[in-house]
Amino acid sequence: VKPAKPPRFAVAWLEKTAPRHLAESVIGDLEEEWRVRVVKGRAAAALWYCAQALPLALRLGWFDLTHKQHRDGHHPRKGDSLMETLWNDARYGARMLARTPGFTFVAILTLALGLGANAAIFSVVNALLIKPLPLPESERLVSLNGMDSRGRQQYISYPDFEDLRKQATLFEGFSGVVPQSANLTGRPEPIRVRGGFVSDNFFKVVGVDVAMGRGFQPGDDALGAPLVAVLQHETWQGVFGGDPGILGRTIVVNNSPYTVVGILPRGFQFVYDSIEVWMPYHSWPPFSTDDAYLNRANGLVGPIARLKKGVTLKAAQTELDTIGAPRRAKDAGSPWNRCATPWSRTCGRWFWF
Amino acid sequence: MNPLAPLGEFEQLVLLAVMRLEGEAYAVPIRQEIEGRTSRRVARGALYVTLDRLEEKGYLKSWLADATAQRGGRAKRYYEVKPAGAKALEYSWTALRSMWEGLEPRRREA
Repeated sequence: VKPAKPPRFAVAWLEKTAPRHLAESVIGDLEEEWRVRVVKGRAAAALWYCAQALPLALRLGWFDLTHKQHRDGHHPRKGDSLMETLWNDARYGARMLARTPGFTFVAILTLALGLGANAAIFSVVNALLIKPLPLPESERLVSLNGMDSRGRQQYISYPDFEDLRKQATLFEGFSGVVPQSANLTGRPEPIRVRGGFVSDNFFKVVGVDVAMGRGFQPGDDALGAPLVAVLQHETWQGVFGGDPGILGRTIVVNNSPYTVVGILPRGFQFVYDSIEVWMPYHSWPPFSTDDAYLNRANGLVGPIARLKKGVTLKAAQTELDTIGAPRRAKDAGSPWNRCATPWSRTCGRWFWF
Repeated sequence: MNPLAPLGEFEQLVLLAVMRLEGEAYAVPIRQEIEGRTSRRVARGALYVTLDRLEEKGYLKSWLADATAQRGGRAKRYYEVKPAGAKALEYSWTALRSMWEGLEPRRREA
């Protein structure tokens, strides 16, 4: 068995950064303590070593730098202006950093990792929590989720969705959406597209207008209504080559013919996997082929709603809880509308590019 | 008036630990000694910096011993308190004691 050794790079850091007269004993001391730990497990001991060596290297490296400065007699001279002193300090600092590349590397790496991690976290927090959605009065836009007995978010069933739509009074509009992949055929090469099956008021609720043609109209999502589709601008351009006569043309999705009635504005993307083709809710296979959608145990709908003006989230939640109470009492384990949260705070956000 | 540079609290702890270890004082047992007796965590970096500073002030002397295999062939740096260090400790102790004079009941209350 190869004899265990502390992580080489961590030892090298220490060698580079510690003051020369201390490096030998510092590394020896750390190895002595590491040997006590290594008998219990090499991986844990290696981690321990790195966790000790990094701050130690930084501390000693800093000590070495400042100490050298002290020893070299680098003191501001009387009569130096503030700017001169600052400039001399900066030059001295740069020389010292250049002289100790090990310490400089570790310091820059630490700064870079820290800054990078912070920037990444901020961009997520900004997108999800701070920046409003680029939609009219987006603060009134909420997503509704069922919550099962374990507190996990769930879609809700279609009958539950219909009950909500009929009974809720504090919402201006209630729409449903199901993102689902679909097959686009009727063309030389069949392709898979990301479909969004929505209720006919969806675009109205979220507040987006089509750029060409029309959006969905009342009745478009009724069972048996003629099948119509709205395309993403990018899909129109990329898949259909920007065909100027696209409106009124028939496309085949999941073996059903849809008439293209509208094109969305360029750059509009829905949070779910950037949907490419929008279709009415009732043309989604579970609705058109069997009665699965009538089963209250099937969580099929992700409702998106717009609160009436002046209605607080708390009031809306209370109303949802009231509507859901009999349902929850009957079947405690089933998803039911338990939570209304601003859309941007739960599932992501809308993007305009 | 004490002609010596005054000692910080941590410096006193380090000097006392070196004194207690009587010839066996290098960083690892010094740290253990302070942690064991004061129940407070001692950062390695702070200890090395303090040892070095105390040596520079003339309160400690150090020397490298022979390298040992248990330490990856690296030598230990041993420390010993110099007379000036002992004097500085004594001064700190006297100063502290005179400040406490007459305040014993308060000390016991705390």
